[in-house]
Amino acid sequence: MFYVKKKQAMLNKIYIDEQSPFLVNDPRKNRWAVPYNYETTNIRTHILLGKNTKHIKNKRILDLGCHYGTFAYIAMKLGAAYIEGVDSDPNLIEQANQFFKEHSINSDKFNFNCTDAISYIESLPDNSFDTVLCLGLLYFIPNPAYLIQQISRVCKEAAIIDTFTAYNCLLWGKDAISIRKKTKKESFELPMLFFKLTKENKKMYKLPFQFETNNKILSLVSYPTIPLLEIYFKSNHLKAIKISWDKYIVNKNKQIEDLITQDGKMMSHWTDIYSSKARVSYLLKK
Amino acid sequence: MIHEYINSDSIFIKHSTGINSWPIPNDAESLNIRAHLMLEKNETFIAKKKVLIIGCHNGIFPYFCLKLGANFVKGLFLNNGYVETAKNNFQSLNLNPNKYAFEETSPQNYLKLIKDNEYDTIICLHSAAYYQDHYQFIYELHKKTKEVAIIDSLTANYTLLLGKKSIPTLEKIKKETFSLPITNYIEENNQIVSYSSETLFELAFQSTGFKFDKIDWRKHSDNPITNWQELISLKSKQASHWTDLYSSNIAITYVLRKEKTSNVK
Repeated sequence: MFYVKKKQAMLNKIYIDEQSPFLVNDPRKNRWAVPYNYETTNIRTHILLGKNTKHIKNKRILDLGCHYGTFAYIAMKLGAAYIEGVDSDPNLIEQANQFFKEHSINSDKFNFNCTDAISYIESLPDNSFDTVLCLGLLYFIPNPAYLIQQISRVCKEAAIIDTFTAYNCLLWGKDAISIRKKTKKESFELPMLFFKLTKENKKMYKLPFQFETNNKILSLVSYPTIPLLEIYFKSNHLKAIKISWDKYIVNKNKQIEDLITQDGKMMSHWTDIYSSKARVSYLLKK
Repeated sequence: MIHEYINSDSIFIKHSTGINSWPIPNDAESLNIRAHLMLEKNETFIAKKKVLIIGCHNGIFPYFCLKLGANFVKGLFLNNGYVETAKNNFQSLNLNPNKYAFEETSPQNYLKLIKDNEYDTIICLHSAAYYQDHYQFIYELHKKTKEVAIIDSLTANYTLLLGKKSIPTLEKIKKETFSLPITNYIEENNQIVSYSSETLFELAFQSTGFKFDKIDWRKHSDNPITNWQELISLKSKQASHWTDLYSSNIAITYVLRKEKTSNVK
């Protein structure tokens, strides 16, 4: 809704149809910052999964924060041997099962679990999945270092992570004002973890780690800076290869401060979130 | 009047390497005050209780706990040298070996392996820094203690007081940055260590289901410093009293009371 319309010429590989129920029903299709519409989802799939098919095809995959199975479904189409999806929202899991049934996907090849990602991954044996997907989950939890440690333990070969970084704290919510006031741009070059409180009803998901304070139900969420993310990877013996979005980036010089105002957001392209480093993606090899 | 648990002739002090060390000296004055504020004032959580001490050093705090009537005390330390020293100190004092144990282990691994509610009280002494994920650490404390945890830790402000090493950080932050809920990571002795702000600690306590009381150290200093910036220079460090670390939020101590159920859903 906020985006300036761009030609869809960039879209050269189609992984999911415009009329797919995964897209038509997705409440995130018009949102800022990463909309789940036809163009964005196909490009993100191409970059995150399509260019890493050797970690998808014939592999056992764990999809943490699977939502209602959009990426799990595409991974299945790319030849995954088996997919286990995890999400804490029961409605999303019910919908994922429904969509997979409608697409006649062999029920032996997938399973969706309604539980929180941390407890689930803790229960898994070492090396139990070839590949772990963690696409848009890391910033919904307060213990990201622990989750990365668990991902490293559970994945046999690789993990793919797509996440917001600490820069994103400057863009959203009441506490963004205080964070902008109390930091310099250079503060985000330090290995630091920023925490924020968020209300569930502001999100499209049931959030884990909720607690009650001053008669409000809040969740504590966290955003690592890029140097910190890379420390987490290194200390867990994961070789991090930064995934490049350059081919699709429209505004190459977009800075984080350009996205702070409502106007800045309205004038942005969805890839600005990557060019401004508010979101990053990595292929992690064990 | 502070009860004297130990004096300068105690084996815990005579053979200690940190008697005059900054930021917190292991001398008799400091240890007796710490024993008073952290343990004696919380005696109901020590006497007749099963206590775990993370960061037991040479056994001094386990010794205080036994003096205060703990049924059993287990001490953990990452470095085997200190564990051996603690065992030797306890043996030379002829303390009942059925009432204590020491182990060289990572607290992270130890907490994972023990049952929920295994200890009545868990005391964590300057060890949180070695846990890469502070939220997870506090969450584990909540699961493994039956009643109470006492946490004594340096905060993110400490990372600003390390001389030349702190200059790159000081250049990149504002003086208010570490009042935000954050964890700052630095390299110390070839390993990455983590220090959280007071704001983050308090949010994590609430989130995991702890009620908390902050211990006030101010009355033990004649002229408490309340601003970490006053302790940046070497001269000001030398002129300060060790309790200034607490009054200026460079270090914090909390008594955490477990609520009946975890807040984390």
